[in-house]
Amino acid sequence: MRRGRILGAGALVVALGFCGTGAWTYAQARTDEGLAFSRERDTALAEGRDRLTVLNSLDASTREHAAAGIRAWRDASTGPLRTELGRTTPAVGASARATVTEAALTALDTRAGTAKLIATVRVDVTPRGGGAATTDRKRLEAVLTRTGEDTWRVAALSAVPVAGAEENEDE
Amino acid sequence: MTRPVRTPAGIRPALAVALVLTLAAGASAAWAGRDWYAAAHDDSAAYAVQRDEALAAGEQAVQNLNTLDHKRVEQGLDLWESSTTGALHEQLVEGRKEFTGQVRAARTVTTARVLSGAVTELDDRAGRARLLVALRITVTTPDSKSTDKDSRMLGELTRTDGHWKLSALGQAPVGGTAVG
Amino acid sequence: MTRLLRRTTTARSTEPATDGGEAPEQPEETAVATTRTPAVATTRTPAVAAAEAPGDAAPEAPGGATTLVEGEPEATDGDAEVPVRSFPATWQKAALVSAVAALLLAGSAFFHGAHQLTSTSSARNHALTDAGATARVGGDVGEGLARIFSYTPASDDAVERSAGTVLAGRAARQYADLFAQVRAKLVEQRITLSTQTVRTGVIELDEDSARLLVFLDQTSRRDDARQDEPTATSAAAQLTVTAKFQGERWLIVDIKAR
Repeated sequence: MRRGRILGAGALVVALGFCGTGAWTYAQARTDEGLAFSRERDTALAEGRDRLTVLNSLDASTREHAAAGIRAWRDASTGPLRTELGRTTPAVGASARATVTEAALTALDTRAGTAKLIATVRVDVTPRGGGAATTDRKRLEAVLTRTGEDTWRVAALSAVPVAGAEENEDE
Repeated sequence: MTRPVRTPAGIRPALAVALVLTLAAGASAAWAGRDWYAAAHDDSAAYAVQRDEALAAGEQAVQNLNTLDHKRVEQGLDLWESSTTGALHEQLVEGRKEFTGQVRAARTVTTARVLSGAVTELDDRAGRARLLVALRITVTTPDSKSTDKDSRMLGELTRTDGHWKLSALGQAPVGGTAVG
Repeated sequence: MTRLLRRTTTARSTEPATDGGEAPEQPEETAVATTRTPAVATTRTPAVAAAEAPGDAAPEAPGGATTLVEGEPEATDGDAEVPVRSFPATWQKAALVSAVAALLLAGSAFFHGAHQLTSTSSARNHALTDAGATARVGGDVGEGLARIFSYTPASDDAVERSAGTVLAGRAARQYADLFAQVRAKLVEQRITLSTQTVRTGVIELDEDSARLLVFLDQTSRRDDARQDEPTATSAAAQLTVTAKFQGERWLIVDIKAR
């Protein structure tokens, strides 16, 4: 009987230890800075890809569509880029549809909420009034700014030209 | 007398377990709270320390890279190489021979003084920073004539082995849009 | 007196049978027992005496005898006492077992939760999170690409050899094929190709494999004896590179143009 009691107490202690270790491990995983950083990196990358797709696409078949497109551009951007895009007037013309073929973050500062991104974009341009689409490939680099909990917007966007002076994109 | 004896006998062990669990929960809550508090406060302190370190190291490195005496070229260039890292360091090492020849031929003495400096960007985690330094450079030619020039330089710092070193350096453009 | 002794010994020997907090109560019980003894003795003398006789001889009373002795005196103080003594034994056991089971379950849930958090694809990807490893792979791959895509008419052998230290697997085979095709033309037309890596971004990174996006600037110069100045053309290249860590270096195993 005494042995039974000791076994019982022992089992209780072991179970307590197990539960405590489990709780501690879980707490460590929840508050792990590296894991949180990795999650934020993936969020910023996904957001960056989506925003770049929007910023390189425009349906300019009608004036209304063009205006809606520019509104979408302004929604995808922030800071200096947004101000610049605000000065763009909608006009009817060729339409573009973009696909981000590859993208990667080159820097991420979670404290400041900024990230740098490079991406390759394939743009299919259809001339006004229909016709054969031409494909253009671009290589871009963008600066992203965190504007909300899991929301990142493009603050600066430029092409990476070959060994020349840097130019800013104005679409 | 019998009733008090009865109740504890029945639920004592359950109470004990419940008490232990409550204590454990309370302890872990206290520990977690303390951890969070410590982390929240340490973060800003550590960041401020890094910013100050980056600024001090950056200003010193920029001053070093604008200081060279033709009589002590080797020491000067050694100092240049030890203040830099990455692409800038590679550049200095590669062009050292040629540059030594140029300086010895020109026989100039260049000194620099930092007027002001500031860190414009700091990524503590990745160990990258950008800074802006206002510098007064004095060049003395062999005929004992010296000229002063004020210059604004943009530098990029990379932290290697806990030390901040210059990984890029250039002139800040006057007017117009900033580079990069 | 003997009954007094009897009661104390039985009380003590019953301790192991009822696990848990019976110990502190022992003095109480014995005290209670002692107060009860005189009253009991008068009514139970024959039964107790019968039980006592074998009990006296063996201080370690067998279970049956103890319960018999135990049960009877308690019965005089109310029927409710009997269940308290025998139920708590199983009730306590059940409480203990369920507590242990609950704790084990909670612990398993915590471990499972922690495992879930640390094994997501986001957690397994160390790109940027491990700054040192990210810089290392970016540097190795960028440097490697610049080396294998830069050649002068005189150095084509050297370039082919260095490709062995930079490339592996599919990329090595593709490069070998490509190089075999253009080699003759390069030497004949005296083409110098110089490649510079302008941007590198790490998409995925774990212990031994990585995926990167690299931007290259390529300038080719043609030293044509017929012309006075060599003509130079520049082109931009974007590549998705897959790399594997082998022998202390990151080797490129696949290249895809974007």
